[in-house]
Amino acid sequence: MKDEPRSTNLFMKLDSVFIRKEPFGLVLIIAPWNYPLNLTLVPLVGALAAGNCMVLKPSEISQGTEKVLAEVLPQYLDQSCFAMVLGGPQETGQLLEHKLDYIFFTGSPRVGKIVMTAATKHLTPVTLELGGKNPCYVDDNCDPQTVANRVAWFRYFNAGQTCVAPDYVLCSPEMQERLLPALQSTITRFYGDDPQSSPNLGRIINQKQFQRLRTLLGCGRVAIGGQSNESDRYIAPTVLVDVQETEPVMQEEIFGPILPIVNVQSVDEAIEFINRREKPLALYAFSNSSQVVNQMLERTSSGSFGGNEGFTYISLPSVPFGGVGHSGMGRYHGKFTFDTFSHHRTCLLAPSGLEKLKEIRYPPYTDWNQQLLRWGMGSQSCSLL
Amino acid sequence: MGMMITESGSQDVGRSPGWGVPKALPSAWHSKCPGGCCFPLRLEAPESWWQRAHPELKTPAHSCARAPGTLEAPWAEEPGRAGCGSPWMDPLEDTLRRLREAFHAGRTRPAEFRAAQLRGLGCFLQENKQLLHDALAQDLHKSAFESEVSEVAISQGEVTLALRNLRAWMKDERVPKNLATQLDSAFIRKEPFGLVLIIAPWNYPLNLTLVPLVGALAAGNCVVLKPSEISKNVEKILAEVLPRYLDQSCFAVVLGGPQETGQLLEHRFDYIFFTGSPRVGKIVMTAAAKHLTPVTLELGGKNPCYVDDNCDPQTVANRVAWFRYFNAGQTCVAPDYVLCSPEMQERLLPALQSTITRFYGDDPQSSPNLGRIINQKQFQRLRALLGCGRVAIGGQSDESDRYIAPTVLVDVQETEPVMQEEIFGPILPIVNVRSLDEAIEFINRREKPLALYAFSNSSQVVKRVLTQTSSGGFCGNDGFMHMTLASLPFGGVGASGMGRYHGKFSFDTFSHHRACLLRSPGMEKLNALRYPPQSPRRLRMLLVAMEARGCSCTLL
Repeated sequence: MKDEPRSTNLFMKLDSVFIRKEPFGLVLIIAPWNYPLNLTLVPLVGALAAGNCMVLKPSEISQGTEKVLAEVLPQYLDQSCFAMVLGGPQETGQLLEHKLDYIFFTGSPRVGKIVMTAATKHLTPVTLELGGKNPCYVDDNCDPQTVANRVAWFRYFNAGQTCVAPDYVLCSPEMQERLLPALQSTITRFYGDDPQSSPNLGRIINQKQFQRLRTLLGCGRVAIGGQSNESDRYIAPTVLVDVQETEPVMQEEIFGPILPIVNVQSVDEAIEFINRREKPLALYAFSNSSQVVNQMLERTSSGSFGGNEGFTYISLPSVPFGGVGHSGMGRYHGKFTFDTFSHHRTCLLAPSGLEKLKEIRYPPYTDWNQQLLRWGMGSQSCSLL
Repeated sequence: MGMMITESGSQDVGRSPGWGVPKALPSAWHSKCPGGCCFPLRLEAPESWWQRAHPELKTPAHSCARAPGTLEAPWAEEPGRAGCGSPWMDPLEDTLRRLREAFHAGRTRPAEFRAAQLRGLGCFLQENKQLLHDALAQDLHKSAFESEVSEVAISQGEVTLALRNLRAWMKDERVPKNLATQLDSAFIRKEPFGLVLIIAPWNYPLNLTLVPLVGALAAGNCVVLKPSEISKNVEKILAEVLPRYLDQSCFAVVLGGPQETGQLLEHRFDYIFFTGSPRVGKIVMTAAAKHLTPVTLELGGKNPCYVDDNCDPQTVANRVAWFRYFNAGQTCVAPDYVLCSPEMQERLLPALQSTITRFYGDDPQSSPNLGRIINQKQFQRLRALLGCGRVAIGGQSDESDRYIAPTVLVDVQETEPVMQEEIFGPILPIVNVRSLDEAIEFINRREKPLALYAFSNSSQVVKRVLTQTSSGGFCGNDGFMHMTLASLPFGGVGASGMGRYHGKFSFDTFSHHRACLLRSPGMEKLNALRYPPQSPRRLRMLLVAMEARGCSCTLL
């Protein structure tokens, strides 16, 4: 919260110059259903810390958590500064017609556009945490079992319903041959021979998502898993191969425990494949060669990047979490959340007297005025910010 | 819909209404059709991801339906007819495609390239200084002093700062880690967004074009610049001279008015930087929303200037007048209106008169130090405002010269036009309030302004105004000098804008800050802790590893 003093030039040595962090005012947080507690509370922390009043719109899809947030959470907060709004798309649309001072939205790009368009009416700034298809490049030069462990853990965590999960794998046909048995081995190790009975595997949030995912199981060819159970909204940890780019599983964000593998012949082809598509929220590259990892990092763009690792960086509040392009705008976590929900107001406090020092800038102008003023303006003591 | 462009000097015969007035463009834009006609040619471009995202921008291959050498305006034909100059042609798209290709090829990434671009900008300013001064004088009657201080020097300062700090700004930022990531490399990488659009206004046509441009180029983007068509003389220099100093595979200037800008905004950009009015800001943001393009909007508003009873009227008059009448009041951060008690008003008026006479002489119209209104439309608008309240000082105007005298209005009602719109001219209304509380309440009833000023000998009064209001920026006992400091972010809040720039803030605005974590491909045993099947003990250990800071410094 502290004012940040800033460096000045010669003319302002007697002035007090600083940046003051101020709350925006009334902030709206629209939260999704996949991590209904995390993705509601973490932005809330920042908004409250920055001194704003809050309206929270939790997802109506994660009904159990929504109930707790609606009934229990307000008891812990000052309700003159905090309110909960419940409802579906219609109610959210009505909410967005009102004037707010900041809108923080986590969800799909499609709805992100709706939110940003609504925000335009009142010139409300927004942070949009959206999604996309997060590529996961697996180089020939790597240990398949290690890679299988890491990729599988991040893919099947929360039954794949994670915005930063690896969405699809890019690797050579040879690598695919080595990866498949490793993935099977990992899945068995993690979830046992009957994953449906494992306590460590999640379920799909609702029927609509379940049906959507079950349809995706028809793409390409099932190499691992592929089972599903409607009454349980269960989808087995699945790997698909022989997948075409035009099939639905490669057209939409999967958001489920299905991992398609797309073949490429080289790193260059992988990079070109990735760059033809929308910028993703996350991008992963697995290789024993740090040069390969660095190449992937340098020649692509994404919200964030993991080399030989999944989305562990989420646990680090010192790194900003956010998207780019279609995967979003703005960022948060840790201090970045505080800064997101604050207006950074530039402040200069000059002495009310000492008018003689200001005379130099007043007309009528002479060459001398100009030169001196220019020199004074250019003389910033510390230009390294 | 596309931008309509003709060869310089040709007639627009039979142009259907609704198309913008074409402008002459640098010849790099034109390619000749093999059939020999002179109209811009639409080439088939290789598929790129942004084209796939917008298949509606694909056009049929060019087919010249008319005999070579004919120059009739194609839009005299019935619409929908394919061929030379058909409504589907969009040479702008050619330019955008070319810029995107250059970006994807990585041209703008190396620091050397960016530094060369920045040096080019610096040379542009130095080698054309007189030309720029003359253009600014023609557009806004800016004195050499104002041109130097508020246009050239500021732009040059930003170029110098960026050149000096480029590599430091570009560097990956290492970040503190927790126990779970101790062995990893964790950092934030600054990356360019890609294709950036900068839409600039007419009031400081050099400064407000070049300063964002410095940031966009330093951050490694390709840039499309849309300077204001209203400041015609500076526009000409930016269109014809500036590109010579920059790599034209990564930079383009697009000309035109509101209609052309609207067409421009239909295309997809990776970042849009807009300076202008809130009304147009909304249009820009709405267009940006269609492509989920992030924006910075530097808008405006009515900047209040509270003058306390406890102050020296002459000092306050000097300071307020200088910032109000600079550039003939056409400054987004100028004090827009004064709030003070009737008693203070009595003391302030003679002081203001004295200041105005001192600055501009007895006949301000003949002073070389007072600017002019940019065009007839703005002049007429301002002249109408002179009818509000009662003229206490000034009030003269001269249409042929687009001159408005430094004016002070009193007995102004809140409902009058002069208190409803941003004035953007050399007119200063004074509104009476009884107390500081009333002033603060008056300010808070209105939209958050871009700047807010408070004059008082009492630092407590100044601090109260600061604490109990919000605005883009704030200055106590002075005007917008803080804008000259590149160490301070410049931007609005609420209706006065979103985002900020100047100095490193420009670089950061035009960069995507990408979180990166690089782990060793080996040492897999260390990861075993997180894999299922889980146990409570493992969970506890994992939580500790996530929380514990390896680095003792948690202060970011």
